[in-house]
Amino acid sequence: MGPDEIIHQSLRLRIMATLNSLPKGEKLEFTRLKGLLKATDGNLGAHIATLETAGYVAVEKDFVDRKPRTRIAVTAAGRRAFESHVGYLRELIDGAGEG
Amino acid sequence: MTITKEDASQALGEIDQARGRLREAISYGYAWPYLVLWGLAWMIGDLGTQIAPARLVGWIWPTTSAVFTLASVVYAFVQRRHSPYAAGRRDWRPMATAGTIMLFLVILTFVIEPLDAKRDHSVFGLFFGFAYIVQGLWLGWRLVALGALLTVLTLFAFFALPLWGGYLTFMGLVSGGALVLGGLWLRKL
Repeated sequence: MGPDEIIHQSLRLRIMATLNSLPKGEKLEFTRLKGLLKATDGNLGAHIATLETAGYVAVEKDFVDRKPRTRIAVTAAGRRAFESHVGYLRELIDGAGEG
Repeated sequence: MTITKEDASQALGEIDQARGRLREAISYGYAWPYLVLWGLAWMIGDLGTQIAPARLVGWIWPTTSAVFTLASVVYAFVQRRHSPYAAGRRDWRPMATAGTIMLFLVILTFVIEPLDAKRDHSVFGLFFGFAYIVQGLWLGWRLVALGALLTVLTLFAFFALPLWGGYLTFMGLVSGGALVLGGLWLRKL
């Protein structure tokens, strides 16, 4: 088990922690995620794109009352990668070794 | 990639913070409409009692409570169906908790009577103040702050103001207003 460089970046880590806390399959709106993480549109969008390219999140775009809506959900691969990364961090603290 | 123990500790702290933030947002998202509703009830009940003719005074609060209880129940069903979080749609516990509290308050009214009106009113004010504090210990500090404020306002009004010499006006405007503003404050999150 090793660190996941994609997940370990601060904002991406917090994105994954937030989405991973939702029940399986549940999506969170981009605007809500932005408010929770106190991120800007551009910054959050760029990091979500990175996570989507890695297959860790899925982005869904639709319209509600003719207004565009973007929702993000963690994928199964994303959950596994996040749990693996958290496990690595915990092992590091417990003194199993340094990366 | 090199991660030190300090980096790992900081990362786990950020994860906990992010999770806590989501939990708070979900809780505040459910709670704020009820704070606004019951803040309005408080304003109507107390200010209504203050200005109503003597023959209607005894009807103001029972009527207000009945109307706003019904409004809360209806809203709870609507909220559950339109929750942005699917887990909220399946969770019956918030409604069951509210129902249990309402039942307790109704029973309490019969058990503690007769009390003078000011004590009676203050018991409910203190009950809700401490209820928000306890809720806030689990859900978020903003509820603790709101509960503490409500408790302080109720105690001030009880000790400093006569029932018909400012108590009802103060409780209606200030305490009720504090609940409404507190609810809107939680809504921003």
